[in-house]
Amino acid sequence: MSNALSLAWRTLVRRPRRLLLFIAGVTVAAAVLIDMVMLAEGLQRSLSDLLEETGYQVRVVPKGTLPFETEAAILHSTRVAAAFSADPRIADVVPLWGRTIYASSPGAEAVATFGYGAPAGTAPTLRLRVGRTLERLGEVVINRDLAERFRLSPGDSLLVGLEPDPAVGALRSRRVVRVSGVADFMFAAAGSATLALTLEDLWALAGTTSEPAALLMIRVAADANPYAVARELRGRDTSVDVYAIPEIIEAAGDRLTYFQQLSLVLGTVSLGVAFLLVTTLLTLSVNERWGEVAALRALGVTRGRMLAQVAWQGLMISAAGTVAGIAAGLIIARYLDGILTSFPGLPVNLSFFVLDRNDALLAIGLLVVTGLLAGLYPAWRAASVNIAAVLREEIE
Amino acid sequence: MKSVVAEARALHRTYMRGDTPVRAIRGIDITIQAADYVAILGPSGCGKSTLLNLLGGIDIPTAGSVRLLGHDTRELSDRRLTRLRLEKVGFVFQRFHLLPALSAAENVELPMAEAGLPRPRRRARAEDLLDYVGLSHRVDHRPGQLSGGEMQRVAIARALANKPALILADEPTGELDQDTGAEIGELFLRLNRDGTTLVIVTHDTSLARPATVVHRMRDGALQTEAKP
Repeated sequence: MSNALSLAWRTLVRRPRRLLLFIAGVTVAAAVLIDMVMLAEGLQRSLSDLLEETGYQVRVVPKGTLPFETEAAILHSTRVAAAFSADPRIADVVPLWGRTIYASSPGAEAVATFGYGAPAGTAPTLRLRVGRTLERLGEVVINRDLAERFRLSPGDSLLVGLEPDPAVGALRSRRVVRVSGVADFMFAAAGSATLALTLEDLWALAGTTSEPAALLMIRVAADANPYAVARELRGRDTSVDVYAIPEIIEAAGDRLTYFQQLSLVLGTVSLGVAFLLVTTLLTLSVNERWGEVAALRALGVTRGRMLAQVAWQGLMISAAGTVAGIAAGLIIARYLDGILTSFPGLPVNLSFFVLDRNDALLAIGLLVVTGLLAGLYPAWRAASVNIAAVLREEIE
Repeated sequence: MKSVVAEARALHRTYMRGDTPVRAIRGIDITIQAADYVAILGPSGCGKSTLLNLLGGIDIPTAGSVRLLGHDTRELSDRRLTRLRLEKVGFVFQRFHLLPALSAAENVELPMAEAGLPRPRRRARAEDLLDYVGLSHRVDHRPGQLSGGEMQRVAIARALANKPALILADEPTGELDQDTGAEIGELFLRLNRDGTTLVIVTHDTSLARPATVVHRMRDGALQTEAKP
């Protein structure tokens, strides 16, 4: 085995420039495959990770919508949440609402922001950076974009209100709030100004008394099954949709099937390219060494050993291309992710390209098997050489 | 009485060149005895190389039989025939067929590695054989760094690697100039005097001169010129 391996390696490196070119080709194919594997379910995995990070396993939304997708709302959400909370399998219910509000600072122009409303003391979709979360009325948590724009830090004041009155230019329903903290908003779009107020403050600002919520987030008790809770709540209130996180991911996946189709097609093409590159190189190599192959067989090298030698070469090329391809694929994925997640409206914390260990192993396995299969034809040619005919033709 | 290393009886070999059958060997009988130095002479295309390939078990007769060290080559599986060649037959080709990626010693080691000899022993034997053919100073040189004569010496050392019962050489001086060819001829003579059985197919009459048996071939048939 080691002899065939050593011979395979030394035969391959006889033409180093050509070998490097072919490995570069396999590297590109491997990089595309890795990226396609990452893309196929990357968005769903990323969304799943974000949803899980909140610690709330069930979402209740107005019938036929996804969270914050439309302006539809669950009315009287405090009462609804209290009713849900009575269920012993439910540990906590957090209503969330959101709408566009304006923020301004002395001497600065008002900017439109997305304002989340959450009950005081809760911050399920925030990653606090500085200060503390909302604890009482009149407080606000702002994101880093807003903090930088108005040069704000915890303890500073901020003017918030509804859209400016066109006649006087001042914000309507304006009030002064105090910044309690600066946070990253997990579902905020890149570059967007975002803030969180208490639900009561947001409802008051909007002038609504119907206590609307775009979403109820439910944390189930430790011993409860989120699926069972979701199914039970669905049956209890037909005006809402209730999802456990995997069901949200599945619903999102239905809308993202084109990513999977694109990945499947491009991934298959990349495997085909890798296959053809390896087969071409090895067939060329065997053809060039035809006399040498016949002589080796004459000297007593078995068909199996000949086959193994060429098959090893296929594996070596695909292994080298796979290693380089993974590195290239990760770099390309990072670059493409930067482009795709900068699209307006997309949560900045989502990723399109997520590397899952099992999928990565699958891609590596596919590339190695492709290398092995690609080596089979030239290996078979080398193993089945007609020794006498080749030696005869060589001297004729 | 000397033992028989190889013998062919009523040997025929026809192969196809495109759509045309070529009757390369037509009813040859030949016996190679241990320690013989057999030279086969003849014009190009008369079937010399085909006969050599048949005797060495790298080609199978269309009719008749070849017994190589007592084994009928038609009755052996490819695996057993390959093993027989590896262990009992040494080949020397006109175009040397050394592996360019390997050093002289590694080329000589190749058949020993294939036969499963441990690395230290095959290295030592390769160095001894290269010394025997006068290349002790070229052990680590690659074929590209050697002259034609030196490459053929390495090929001869490789043929001797597994202590074969028979060495078959096909036009071993065909790619060499006259002086180098003469040196290779002297090496073959020395081999034979040291007990190696040789069959050499050649145009080079100087290689045939020291032979114990000389065969002349014409149109696939053999004419024997016995020598004392």
